[in-house]
Amino acid sequence: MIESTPWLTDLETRVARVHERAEPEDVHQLRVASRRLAAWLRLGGLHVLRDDLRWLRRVAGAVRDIDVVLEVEGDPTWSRWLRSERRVRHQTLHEALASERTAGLLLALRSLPPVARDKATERLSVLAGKALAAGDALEGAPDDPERFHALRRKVRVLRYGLEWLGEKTGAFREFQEVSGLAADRAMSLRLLAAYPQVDELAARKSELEAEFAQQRHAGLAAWTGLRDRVREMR
Amino acid sequence: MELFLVRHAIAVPSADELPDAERPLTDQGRKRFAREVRGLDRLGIRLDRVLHSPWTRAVQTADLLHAILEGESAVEAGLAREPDGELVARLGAAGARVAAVGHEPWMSELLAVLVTGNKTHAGRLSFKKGQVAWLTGDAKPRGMEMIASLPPRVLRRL
Repeated sequence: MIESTPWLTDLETRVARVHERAEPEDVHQLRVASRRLAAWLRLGGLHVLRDDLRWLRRVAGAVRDIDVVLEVEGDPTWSRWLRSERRVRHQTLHEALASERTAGLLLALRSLPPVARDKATERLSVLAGKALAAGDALEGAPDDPERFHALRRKVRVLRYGLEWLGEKTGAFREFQEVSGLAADRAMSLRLLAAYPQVDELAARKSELEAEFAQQRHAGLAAWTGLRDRVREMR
Repeated sequence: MELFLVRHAIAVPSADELPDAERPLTDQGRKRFAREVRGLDRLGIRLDRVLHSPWTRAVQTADLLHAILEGESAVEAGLAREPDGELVARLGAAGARVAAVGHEPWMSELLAVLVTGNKTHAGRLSFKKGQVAWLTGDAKPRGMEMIASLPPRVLRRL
């Protein structure tokens, strides 16, 4: 049987910490724990509570996006705007973490029985099939950013599923690291588009677009190296 | 709006070693409620939101409703205690076709409030495990009327 601990304990800890201070690392780890628990629910065949976890990730993600961009972007005026935007988003996150929905979600997760290992193994092959389908879709249109993000999500769910079952996932991490760089650039582009003085950073925007395309292609290459391993899981 | 009040399906009995919030559905409860959901499906019922109590038997019942859910589910802690005005307001804001999965005696109380305006007669309302009360109107005290009370056996025969 697969118990939801220790990731549930981790999520509870991060919720408490982020509620107090919202340090970037805690916000990040809150989202990681939430994703891992969503993968655990998938292995258990449960649909419910995944929407609540997604909601939590979305609210925390609004803060995390800014943290990622602040780490790499140096323009002082844009950074000032980002920090001010973070304060607003943090307030929304703070309220979400104090809400009954979060309390109910944590209680519901704590109360669920463990997942049967044989059923989890069966469902893993479904997750592998979804990753392969997303990979095929991207290979058919390598310049489509949405298909790239979809593959990244499916591979991550599969990796977490494997890790719940105690499998090694080194090759998956490599793909995730490479594709993560592309995702970071996409985040910078999204926040730049929302920046009122975006016209002043036209050169940086062009650079980011070029880097995003380059790193997407590197991600696709990393996927090609991983694809056969995923096929074996079907 | 259309509101479907659902009492959770048959769960394992209370036991000292098992906290009430953690009681799961029995295999029979799960199978029977899955058949009830097929009955709801045959009635053409589709949901755009499922709200459920955080207790395991309600979580697992709500999960079976996923077959007719076209939107999202959300945990609603207010369904695991005596209903109040805030819960009623949240139900009203949840969507156009909403299911709320909870427990007795609170489901009967919620039904009584929505239909009659108070909880006085809640004790006279029967709400079996897996039963569905189909309401329409505005989610506010005395703002709704009951279209149908669908007992589990009837739903399974549809």
